[in-house]
Amino acid sequence: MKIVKWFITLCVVTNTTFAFANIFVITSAKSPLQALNSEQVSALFLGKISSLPGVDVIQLIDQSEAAPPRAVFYQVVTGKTLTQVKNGWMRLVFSGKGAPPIEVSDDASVISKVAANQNLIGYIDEQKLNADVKVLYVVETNSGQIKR
Amino acid sequence: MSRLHWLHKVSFSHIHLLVFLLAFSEVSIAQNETGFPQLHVTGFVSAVGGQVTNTQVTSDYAGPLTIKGVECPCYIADWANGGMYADSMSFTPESRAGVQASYRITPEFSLTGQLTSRGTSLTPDLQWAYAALKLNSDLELQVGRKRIPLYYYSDFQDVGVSYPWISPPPEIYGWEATNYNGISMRFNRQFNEININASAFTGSEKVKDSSYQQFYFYQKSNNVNWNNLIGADIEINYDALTFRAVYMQAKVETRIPKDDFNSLAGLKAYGVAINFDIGNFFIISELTQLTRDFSAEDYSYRAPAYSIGMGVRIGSWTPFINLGQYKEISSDKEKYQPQAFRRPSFTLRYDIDSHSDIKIQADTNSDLTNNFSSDSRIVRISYDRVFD
Repeated sequence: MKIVKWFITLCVVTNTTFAFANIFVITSAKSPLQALNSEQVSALFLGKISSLPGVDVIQLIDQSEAAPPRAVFYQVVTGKTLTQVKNGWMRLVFSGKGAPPIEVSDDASVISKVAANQNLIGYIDEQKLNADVKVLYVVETNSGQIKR
Repeated sequence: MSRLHWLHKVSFSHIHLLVFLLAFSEVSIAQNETGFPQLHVTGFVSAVGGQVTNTQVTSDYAGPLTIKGVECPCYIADWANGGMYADSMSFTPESRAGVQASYRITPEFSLTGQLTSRGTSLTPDLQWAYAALKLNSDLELQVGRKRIPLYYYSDFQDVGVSYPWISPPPEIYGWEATNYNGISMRFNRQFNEININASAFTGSEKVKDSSYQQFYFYQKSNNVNWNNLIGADIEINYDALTFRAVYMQAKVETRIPKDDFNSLAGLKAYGVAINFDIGNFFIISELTQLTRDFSAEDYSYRAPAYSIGMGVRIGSWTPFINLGQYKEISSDKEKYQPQAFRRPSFTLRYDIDSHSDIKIQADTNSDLTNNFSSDSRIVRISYDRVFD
């Protein structure tokens, strides 16, 4: 375990590119949504839209800033840092133009929330996927660089 | 709309309640999670200190030697709230804190309120108090008290972390009214890669003892009413490019009983904003014009203004340069003496984390018409933070 930790630290410190499991954007298995494109995922998580055909009110589930997928997800999907994303959301929240994503601590919490409510969209590490949720979009992180 | 006037009158205990809610927001959000109703409490604070570093007015200065009892040269940073810097360090002009509570009763229906306290006025102001109803996937109806969405930063001009300056350019964001009571309809939709956000709004606002007017009529009670306010805006976002256009008109009634002063003006405001944000580089620009037509007194003036800035993000640092200008053009210089200002500035922002930053800013303000506040150099520092 220690060796793995040291390796990750080394990669982060040296800004090294290395393989990272893909991230799945998910919704409830009961949702009318079938698939999203990259523009839709980016616009949703930047708060530029809050509805999709068939779902009038979408509520986003985010992972905590400490959770591994979060920075990678935003970097690949939106090209922005967590600070830029947060600043954008604060603009919307204090303009009355959007409710920010609800933060949960890990993949398992995202899955349990999303499975129970058709209005929810979240993202998880691909390895945690189960049958209660369906994948709307795959964020390919293989070529992604770990942004500090 | 006058029935909504009670919304101004909020007792001080409300802010205590909201601060309490803010402190426990983590708990309340965690309890409610994704079910309904949901309570979401957010807040912001900006501590801003600054001073004018030169002490002499220019030799050709012909304006008042004091403004609001303070010796010129001075720098008006916030016209709406009376924020002005002079030659001693002060945290009063622009420091502010706000708390916002949003109560989502169903996925479609929510209530939102925001209170803001300022260094210039510690009694909290009710900036927002409205009900929002989502009608379908594209349309939302909002009723109550809101910010006038006049220019790009108007809605969130108090939230320091959301822009690169210490505060939005006063050349554009300098108004006697910032809020209104009324109704608005918002449209939001994605068309392929283009996101569109548009709104139409109507209402009115009464400002008692407007700080803006007190720059001119110090220690004199005044009443400013913006009636028949109506406007619309559209924001188009495509990849790195954001474009916004707005039009608004209102009837502005200004009364200063002590001077037996009474005026009525037709106000029209137009604005275009173009922002470009690619990778670590960004440009933000805004071009506006307002006209005030005092037809009963047979004169008018128009005031074109612009602000253009560019910055680059280098890790946690964002150096940013900006140029702002405001220039009044009067139809009759006997009846109305125009003012004009130009101000280059440099800001350095450091992001402490995703919720807070520190900024320093240096400005050189030129009083181009030499008739109000004189030329000044200003240095400021701010700490901005949001809570969510």
